[in-house]
Amino acid sequence: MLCQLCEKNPATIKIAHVIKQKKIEINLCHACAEAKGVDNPMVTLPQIFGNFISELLGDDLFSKAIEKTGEKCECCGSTWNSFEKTGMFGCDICYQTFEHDLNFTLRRIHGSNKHIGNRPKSQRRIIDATELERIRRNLQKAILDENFERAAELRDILKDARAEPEESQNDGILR
Amino acid sequence: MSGIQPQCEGNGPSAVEASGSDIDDFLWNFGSWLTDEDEYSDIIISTRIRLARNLKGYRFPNRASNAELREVLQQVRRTCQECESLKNGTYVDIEKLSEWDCKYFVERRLASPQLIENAYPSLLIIASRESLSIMVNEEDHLRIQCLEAGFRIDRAWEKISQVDDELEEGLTFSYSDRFGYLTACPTNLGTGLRVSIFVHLPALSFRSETQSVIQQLPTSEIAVRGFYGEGTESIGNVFQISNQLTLGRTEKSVVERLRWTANKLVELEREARARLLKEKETKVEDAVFRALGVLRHARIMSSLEAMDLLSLLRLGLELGMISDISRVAINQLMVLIQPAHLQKIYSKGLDADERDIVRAEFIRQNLWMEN
Ligand SMILES: [Zn+2]
Ligand SMILES: [Zn+2]
Repeated sequence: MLCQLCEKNPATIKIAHVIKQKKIEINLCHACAEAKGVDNPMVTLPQIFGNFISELLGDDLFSKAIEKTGEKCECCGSTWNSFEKTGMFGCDICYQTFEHDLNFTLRRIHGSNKHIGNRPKSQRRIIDATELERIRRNLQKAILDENFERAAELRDILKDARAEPEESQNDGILR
Repeated sequence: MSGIQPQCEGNGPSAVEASGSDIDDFLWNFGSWLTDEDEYSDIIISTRIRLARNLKGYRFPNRASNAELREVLQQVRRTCQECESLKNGTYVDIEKLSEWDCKYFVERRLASPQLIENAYPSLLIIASRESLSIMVNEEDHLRIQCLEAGFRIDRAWEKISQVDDELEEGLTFSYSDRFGYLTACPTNLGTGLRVSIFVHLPALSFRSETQSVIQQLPTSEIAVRGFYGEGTESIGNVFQISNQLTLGRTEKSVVERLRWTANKLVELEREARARLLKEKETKVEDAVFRALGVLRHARIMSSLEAMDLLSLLRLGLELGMISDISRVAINQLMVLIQPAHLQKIYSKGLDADERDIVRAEFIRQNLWMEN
């Protein structure tokens, strides 16, 4: 078997990457492995695996995505096609420009299209009593719906909100 | 626990702008991830947390002009120099580095291969004995990293959160309520958080059980990377486990999931080690001492072979078959025998064949055992 990078030398090193129950293997020659730093198992390899991104995300992700040849990000010039090709957006405005198509793509990648993690410090909000109540109600609903993942996340938020008691300026701040 | 000699006499990197000699200082002044240990260090080599952040108002590196990226550099540099945790760090201008010096930081796990390959105007900031580092203008404007020895996942999280908050005093990050922190690649979107744990699983590998163990992990959430050589079970038996998903999960739940997974692997590897001692002691002992023999006497050694043999040595150490070399020293050797480190140690240009020769020599000189 030839090295999958240079396609010249015989492949002597196999890199295996297990993701979503699938094992992806890349065969490299010694020279390419060394050049990529893969003979050091403690170096990570986003670059190499990045090229296999369509495999990582599921074969039909990109082919199924809606063709959006017309739309172009005003800020950076990215198109949906350029995103398909590189797996990358060119600026933060792209996330507004392609929001509609992203809903589908993000659900395929992450199983979700809504951020529920930390906010920048400047935007961290204080959870007031009404909102706490709302989160509690959603939690009850999630449990009834047997949506345990969602319930766990909401429980985390509640825990965070209560973790820091009245004493300090950190009171009720959602991290 | 004594590490690899010779120790440099300097008192560590403290210069604000790195020159060639500052870079060389890193060589023997090992960061804390290469000197410290905790109760998991028999299996977990290190824990790394990384955050991806971008500056509002600037296009991502893949679409930005060089002028734009230089502005990003300026802003980040100015802010970091005001940050308590970063102001005494070393600031390395990647553009001015030689190719080998770049690789050296990759081997040291402070830079990614991508930072070097992109060739954008970029900067590497290293602080807190290598435990904090920031790549500026890699795939995203900022990749903040905290690297700790063993399984110090809580400490790493606290440290990196602190830096994240400090940076925000001077920088405005791209963030949306809906999508969270905005990143060039949507696989990092949301928290921008990647937690990676590097585990050494020689006993599971020796028993050919790594595959089945990995298949038991919840791989929709967890990615496992291993490095296999042809004909051998794996290279160095080091596996990297990290979270796969960054959107729709809280940072806390990601950290907890990784903690659970790592604990599970530790439990399985410890069991495998116990069973190995019971069922195949002589076979393991034979493999360990053969590895030791080759390491002590070989005249030519590739980095791949060295990693495999050092992995066996580490197993022998953990099983109490050999002593007089510390785990820390083995971990350090695994870094020092990499190509760019050897170039630095021997401070001359070496081709791959010459490197294999000096690697064997370096290991012979540093793998002293008293009995
Ligand atoms: Zn090749
Ligand atoms: Zn854009």
